[in-house]
Amino acid sequence: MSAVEPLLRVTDLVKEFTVREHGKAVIVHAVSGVSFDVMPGETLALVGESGCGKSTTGRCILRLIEPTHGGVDFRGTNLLALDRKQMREARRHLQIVFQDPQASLHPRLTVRKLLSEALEVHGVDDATVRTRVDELLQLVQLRPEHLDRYPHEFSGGQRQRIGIARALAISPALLVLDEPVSALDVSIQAEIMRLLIDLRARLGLSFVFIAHDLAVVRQLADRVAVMYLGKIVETGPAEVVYSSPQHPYTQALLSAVPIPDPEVELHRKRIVLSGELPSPIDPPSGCRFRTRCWRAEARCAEVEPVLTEAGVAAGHTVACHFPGPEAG
Amino acid sequence: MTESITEPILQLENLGVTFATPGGPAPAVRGVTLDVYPGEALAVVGESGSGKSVTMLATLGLLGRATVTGSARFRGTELVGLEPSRLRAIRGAKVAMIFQDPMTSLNPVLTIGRQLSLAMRAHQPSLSRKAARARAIELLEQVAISQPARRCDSYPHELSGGMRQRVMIAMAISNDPEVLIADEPTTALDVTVQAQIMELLDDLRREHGLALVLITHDLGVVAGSTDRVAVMYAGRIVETGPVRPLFADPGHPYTRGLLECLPRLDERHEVRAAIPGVAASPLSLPPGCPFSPRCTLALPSCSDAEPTLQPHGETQAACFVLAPQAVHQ
Repeated sequence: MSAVEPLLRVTDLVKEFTVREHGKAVIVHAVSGVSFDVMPGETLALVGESGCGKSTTGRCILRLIEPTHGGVDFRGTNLLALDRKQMREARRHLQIVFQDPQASLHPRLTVRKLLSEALEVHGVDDATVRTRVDELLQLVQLRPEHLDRYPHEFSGGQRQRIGIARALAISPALLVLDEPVSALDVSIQAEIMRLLIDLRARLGLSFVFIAHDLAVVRQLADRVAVMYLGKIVETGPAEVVYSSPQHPYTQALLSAVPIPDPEVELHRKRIVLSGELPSPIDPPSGCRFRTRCWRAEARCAEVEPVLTEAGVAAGHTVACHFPGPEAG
Repeated sequence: MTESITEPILQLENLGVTFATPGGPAPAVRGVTLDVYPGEALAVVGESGSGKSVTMLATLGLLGRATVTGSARFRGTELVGLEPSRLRAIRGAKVAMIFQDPMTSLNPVLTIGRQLSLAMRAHQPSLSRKAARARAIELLEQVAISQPARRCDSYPHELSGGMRQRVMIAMAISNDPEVLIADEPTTALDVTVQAQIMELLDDLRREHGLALVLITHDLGVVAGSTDRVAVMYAGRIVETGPVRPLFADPGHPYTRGLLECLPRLDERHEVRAAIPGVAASPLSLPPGCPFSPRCTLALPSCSDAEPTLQPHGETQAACFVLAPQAVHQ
């Protein structure tokens, strides 16, 4: 037995949606065999652009969407094998925070009620609920007078604090954060990021941080998994993936992120991808990125690359037949 | 800088916009003075509610019920209060605008080709349908849409977000405008698509010599794509200047704060929440400098009067502390 067991282990997760297109049923391959571990206290970031499957993956972990197949083990228990009641019990330990707290907080409930409810569903007694609600409020730096207000009376940043407090109510070990700061102005974004980093340290939380903004991710991720069209194309320690990306898509993605410094931008080489994202209904054969890849050869269409050690640092893997640093 | 020898193409002078709201009059834009020069890329930066979009919408007469004061001139023609038919002759032809969400700007029941030719024929009545279609295909090719002839017959929902924004850009340049106002053109798009669109806007600006006014909240995009910046807060320009000195030595605490709290891709740093509090609401502006309640440098006297733009190094900033105010008699 190894020293530390992963808190969360996702194995070969697949999610296919059936949709109707021009009157006939077709399959959308949203997530196609995604595997990763999250260690206790660790933050794994799932990054990628629209349609890469990062949010679907997050929802499958909590079974808000039922995976088509694959494994989701939390502390060694296979969540996919649990019945409804057992799953509700398991959700004590795994919670999710959404992008838009406006949409995820009931508009007719006060903050007090929103927070109490999150405890009551888990059978917490009234006296404990009262003290816990006060604790939660302090934890996310809201004031007691906020308790009797409704979600619409708050700013976007404050609403996200309420969403976080609600997710933390029953002291989970792992939070899935799905674009938690994307809808906020930059000054507010920074405050929420600070809060998350602070809570992680104080409560020893593990995060699955889902985001499209790679600059934001860099500030808190321990490890990064880059997704493209339903697959992880590269994963590893955050610092290694950011400084020595080996997959062409990771390189293009990183190069596209603007840096708020005119001097740096002046000398930056940008890889502008050609073409469009292929449809997840009919993904390309072999490597899914090959239709937009400047390194693609015949083999890329025939053989699907699997994640293999990139040789840069331990735990850094890349799914590419021709990995390597971008030629300068 | 060529500013002294070139005439500005678009001149805003003390432009003000006030909305009537149930909570009373809301001054969303308060005395904005801004020049746009031919061929330049100017960024108007601010967070939600700063007035950056409203300023440009007012300039083009695109606000429904609002009181617009002051002046906005295009090549000397006053646009504020201009008779609608004359304004229409300028808007969409000489000054074009594109928006964040191309889906809501495109008509869902008309093909791309039809919409492009309508846009052209509105300003060039002599253009035949056939010639308009040929030109539409040419325009789609110019904005790098593959199979342009086929795409002419597509409906907006058949295109990706990035392609729809390309179509909007094609429509905007269809009458050879001199100014293109782009309001958060890439905010709804993925970052690799953003890179494609910004590259396209840059190419068009160079090829057609048009002036680009980029309205954005994203200082990253500003750093790489523009020459000059105006930072807005609470309906006013609080700092303006060439892009490099403005980033290197900002003269307004708000600009400094924004730059400080931005996450950077090229380094892992501590997250700094540099601007406490929330943005001032136009319905209850604080006295004096509207940024003072959130400002870490504010002095008690900052709430006495509102500062005006004064030189700070190579930029101009409206701050009593960092850009000492000139003494007027």
